[in-house]
Amino acid sequence: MNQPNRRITRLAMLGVAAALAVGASAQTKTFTVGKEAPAQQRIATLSSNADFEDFTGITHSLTGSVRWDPRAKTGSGKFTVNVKDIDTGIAMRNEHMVGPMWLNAEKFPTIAFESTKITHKSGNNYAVEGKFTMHGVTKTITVDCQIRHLPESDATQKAGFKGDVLNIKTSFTVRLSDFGVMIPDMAKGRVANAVKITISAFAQTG
Amino acid sequence: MKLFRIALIVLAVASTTALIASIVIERFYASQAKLVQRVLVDQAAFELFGETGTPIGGPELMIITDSKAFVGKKTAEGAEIVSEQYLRDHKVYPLQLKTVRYVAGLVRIASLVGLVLAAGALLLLARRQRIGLDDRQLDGFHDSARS
Repeated sequence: MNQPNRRITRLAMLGVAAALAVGASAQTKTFTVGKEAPAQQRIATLSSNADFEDFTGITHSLTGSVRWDPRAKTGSGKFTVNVKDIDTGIAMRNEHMVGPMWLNAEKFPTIAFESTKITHKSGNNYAVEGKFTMHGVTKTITVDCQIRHLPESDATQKAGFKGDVLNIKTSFTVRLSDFGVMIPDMAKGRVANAVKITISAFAQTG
Repeated sequence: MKLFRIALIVLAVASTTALIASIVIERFYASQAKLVQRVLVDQAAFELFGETGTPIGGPELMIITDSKAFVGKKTAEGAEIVSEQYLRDHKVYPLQLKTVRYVAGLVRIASLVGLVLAAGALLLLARRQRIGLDDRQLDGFHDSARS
């Protein structure tokens, strides 16, 4: 093969590689969980199982975005909730929970999780490593996560979604003391130090 | 002394009543409790994935008397699904069997302590009274011997 032909071949190969790269990145889509989404499609909960009682605080203030490549089964994302919107079902407990003795919503208004690494395990199951921030303290944790992708279809449209749909579910346990939240003696037995946090969200591209 | 003895008897009776009541009430609530899973029902989740919605917390033994709160479905673990939205809309905060058991346990401990204290004090009083009586009898014997 002479010199000009070799150059043409090399250019063509570069072109194909570039096209493939563009094609691959085109698979990555941005999904959002916005304030306009129905409340039951953006839920974060915080559950305490203590000796005296169990309770679960719920918030629908979950917002976030995920960049997701359904083919490569990887991506990244961040979710945030407003602390003051957590509802435990009892008004007085809500007041206590967001007060300075507990989550201190005035000083630390949000709880956030930002992924740093997503590893596909099997089916729709992933191990997601990320930074979890609560009460002003950030810790790196790895959580099991279920991520289900549905391309836009009649079914997704009928269900009220715009564009592709990403259903994200995760639950993990954190110790309040690790995040500087100390349970007062009078509340021991009513609130557990280990609380289970769950996120359930439907994100969409449209 | 007589008043003190009456107070001790009242304490013993009250403790026994509380002890029995704690057992009866706990058993009553246990018979009413069902294993339930609270779920935020979501039509979109049902249409797309065949799921009822998002579970809130884990399965719990609860006393829910309002039958409208039940969705009429069960989880794979056999817990009856209860609509969280219904509970919140109707301001129903279900009683947990765990709380009943915790309180009943505290009542049992308190009533057992009360019972032991009352019984102990009554026994002591009886013993003291008997000794006093014996002393008086002994004094009476000495007096009669002297005369």
